[in-house]
Amino acid sequence: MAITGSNSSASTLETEPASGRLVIGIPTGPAAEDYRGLAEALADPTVRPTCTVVVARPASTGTAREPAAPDDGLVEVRYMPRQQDVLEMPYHGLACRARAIHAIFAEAQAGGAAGCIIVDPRTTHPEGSIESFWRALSAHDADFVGPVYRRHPFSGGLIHGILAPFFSALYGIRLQYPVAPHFACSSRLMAMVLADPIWDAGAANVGIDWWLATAAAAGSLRVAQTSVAVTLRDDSPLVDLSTTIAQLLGFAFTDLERRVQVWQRIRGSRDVVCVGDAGESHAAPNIDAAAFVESFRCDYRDLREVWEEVLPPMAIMQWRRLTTMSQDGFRVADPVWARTIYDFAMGHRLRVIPRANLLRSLTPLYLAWLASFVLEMQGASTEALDARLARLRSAFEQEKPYLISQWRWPERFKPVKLRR
Amino acid sequence: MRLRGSAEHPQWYKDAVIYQLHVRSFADSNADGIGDFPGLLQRLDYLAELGVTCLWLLPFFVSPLRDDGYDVADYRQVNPCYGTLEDFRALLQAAHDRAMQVIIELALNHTSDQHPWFQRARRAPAGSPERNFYVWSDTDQRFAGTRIIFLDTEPSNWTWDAEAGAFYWHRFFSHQPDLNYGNPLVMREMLGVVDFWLTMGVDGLRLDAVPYLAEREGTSCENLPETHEVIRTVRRHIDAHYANRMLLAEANQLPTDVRAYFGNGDECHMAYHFPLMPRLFIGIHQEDREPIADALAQTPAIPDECQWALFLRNHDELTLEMVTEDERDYMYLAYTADPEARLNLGIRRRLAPLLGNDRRRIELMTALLFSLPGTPIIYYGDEIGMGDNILLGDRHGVRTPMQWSPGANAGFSTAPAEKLFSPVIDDPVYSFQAVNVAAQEADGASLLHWMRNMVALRKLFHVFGGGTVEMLHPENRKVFAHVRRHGEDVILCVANLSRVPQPVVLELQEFAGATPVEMLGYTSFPTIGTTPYPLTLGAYGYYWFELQRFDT
Repeated sequence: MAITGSNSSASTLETEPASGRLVIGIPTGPAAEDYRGLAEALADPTVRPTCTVVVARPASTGTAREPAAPDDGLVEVRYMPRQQDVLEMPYHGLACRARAIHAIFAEAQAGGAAGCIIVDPRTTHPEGSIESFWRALSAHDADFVGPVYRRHPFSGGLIHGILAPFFSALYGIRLQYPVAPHFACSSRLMAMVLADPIWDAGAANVGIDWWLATAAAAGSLRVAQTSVAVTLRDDSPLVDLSTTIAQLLGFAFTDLERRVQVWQRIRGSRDVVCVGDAGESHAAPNIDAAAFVESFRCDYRDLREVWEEVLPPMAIMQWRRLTTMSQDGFRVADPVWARTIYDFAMGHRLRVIPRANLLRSLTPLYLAWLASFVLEMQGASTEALDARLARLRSAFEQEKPYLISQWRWPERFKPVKLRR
Repeated sequence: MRLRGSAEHPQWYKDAVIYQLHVRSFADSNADGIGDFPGLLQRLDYLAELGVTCLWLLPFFVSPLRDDGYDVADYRQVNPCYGTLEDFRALLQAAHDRAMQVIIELALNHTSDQHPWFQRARRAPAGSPERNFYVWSDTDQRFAGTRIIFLDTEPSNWTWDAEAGAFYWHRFFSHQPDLNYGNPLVMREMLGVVDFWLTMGVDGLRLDAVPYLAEREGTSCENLPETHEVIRTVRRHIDAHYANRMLLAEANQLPTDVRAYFGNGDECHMAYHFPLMPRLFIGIHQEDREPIADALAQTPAIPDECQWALFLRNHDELTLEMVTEDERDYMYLAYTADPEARLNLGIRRRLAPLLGNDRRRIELMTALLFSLPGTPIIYYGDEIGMGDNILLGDRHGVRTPMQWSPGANAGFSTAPAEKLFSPVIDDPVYSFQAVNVAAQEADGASLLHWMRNMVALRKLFHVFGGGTVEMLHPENRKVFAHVRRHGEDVILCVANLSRVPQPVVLELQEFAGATPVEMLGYTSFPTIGTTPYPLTLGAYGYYWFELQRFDT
């Protein structure tokens, strides 16, 4: 039974937190959708007697925080939106997400909460979807719990094709969704991050989810994940793909510079505990790979000059070769893909061209990778898909020395158009 | 409550990379031919990009400048030719904004003879507290066992003052009378000076000429217990009122004597390792590791919170006071083909000219500097291989304007060339038209880029600042190898001091199973086994290896 505003009938809390209350946080922005039903359902004391639902809403006045008195386990906190947060729509559609999460964490910490689960009011929450985060927090003493959605890998290609293997290679933790609207944090992690100036950084709004996952991984805290049955919206993205790529990778690449002392010291990766049954993945979405291939061929002519700012001659040749390939042979080799991402990370670091322009230019390459992935894995079983993604992750790890070598010695970064 | 400095960590100095510069020489913003604080401020991003984490500013106080500012006439005012106190505050803030600490000079030992304290003292009645700010005598025979430091210019440590009708004591130039720490009023005044700068936010103080603070008949007047008591008093005062600050001792002494300046962690946080520096030069010239290994072997242990300050060159002559006579003779023969390069007991040359402008040797020496236990100090201009001018007299030849560009005055100043405080370097090899920041910025293979990368790499590994060191003793003495450890980090450093390739076999069985990953290129070398580990190094080649274990 999905929690979408109606009461959930059964008590599904199998494992109570070790101590203290838990907070379920619902961040909302200036254009908040109706969260009330979800909040009341989650706050039902007959179902979750040890939890408080905290809804973060933008303040309409100059007051930055206006916590309401607890009312049947439901608290509203207000945060002060920044003008810059509402000027650019983030890929996730929540204009003040960082501020809202900060307000929730602050409230959770002030109330001595043992942990906090962030949920997205725009998704359905079937029965048990919240409790699995609790189990991971308490039974596994985790500090950060990421979700594992029952989603076909053809959906969320950015996560599977770039962010997850990138995260795994850098921080050594195989988190399937290092960026997600749902996650849980322990009190320890909240205490660690609340004082960080990141919340006021310009890009925090688009990157706060990535940042929290990396903070946990880089801080040697315990990371777990849990199978979550919520349904993510794949329809009508709020911003175009290029903007999403620019925002997500822009933050992830910037974060690299902050955590250089950590990721350059990590080699290999390890699995993390996954709480709950993964269940059946959703059916494969209908992806028109042929259209992506054609799009890549067209964009190659237009964007090759931009790519030459970051890609070395061999990479340009490999991508050029793809423009002549039939669909049967259209495959982006994993090392080529991994190195391409690393070259873009270096180009971003060295600001070879304006960063947003650079990252947007990755879009056709990403679509080419996605087309290659879809064409290769059409009709594959879940196990085969998992194995394929594991190989991709492994390639990112194998190629990591390529990134480190260039990072430590930027003069080794030798794109076609070398500007030095 | 103690006033905290800008650094997050109390022992920030252990992981620091210090950049030493003279405001006068760095950048001129107002076209008067003299570098100033606004000029330095404009160039701060260059230093941030270089990666240095701490600026050490040579004296910038009001001074007649007869010893480049070490002759202080007012400890609380900025010399107007460098700017104002507000300019200094702005620089301090800007440095802190870039996560850089700032340390300044505290010339404890002496003032200028123009300082009001001295002018008052010479007119005050003998025996009065005012007179006793300095050390006076009716004869120039007191403390007769004390050596003269500036042999080339000073015949005695005493100089007659006609107005006072007495001799005054000075360990350095005669225009720099020594303060008398036997007078409690002197200590009170100096603590006031300490408060003035630390309250403003200065992160550390370099205690200039610190072994000479006290005098006693029948001694060498160096390293006396009374001197250490003065330092402990300063340290107690700082610890009581401030946090995350640092004291750096300039004690050009043997390591066993320098060790005393750390006390039991209750004197200075840092002190220069003077004997190591000349032995690095001897080692690379003799192509033999023993002089270096010997200096390190003779280095005493220091308290955990303390740190050695390491340098290759600085604003003074390459001092040879703390080497043997044979070593001094060798250094003169090896490094001073031109006798003009000699000054006092040292050599007034910059790093690049000393090393024959050989890029490989400059890199090797810098790699050694960065890999040995201590905090490295880079002297301004050495990151681009600046030259010197030994004909400028005293040590002015290594204090010439920073070379920013091939433009007029090396981009240092827009003043007419004849107004510059010093001529720029303009010889055929080191001319500013060839050696300058702009050119090296544009050249990815330049020394500047190399230096930036090495600074960044060193900062990545706390083991260099805080780890232990163990020497290896391979049969081939042309190879210097050592292991640094800190927590789980193990770093192996290997350097070929020779001009030709060298083989070496290292006893690394202790690390069997670990894979040496070359840190500059992140390349894995063959895993270490249970037999000796062979390596080959190119001429003046060096490796830094991270010994990684992949079984986790």
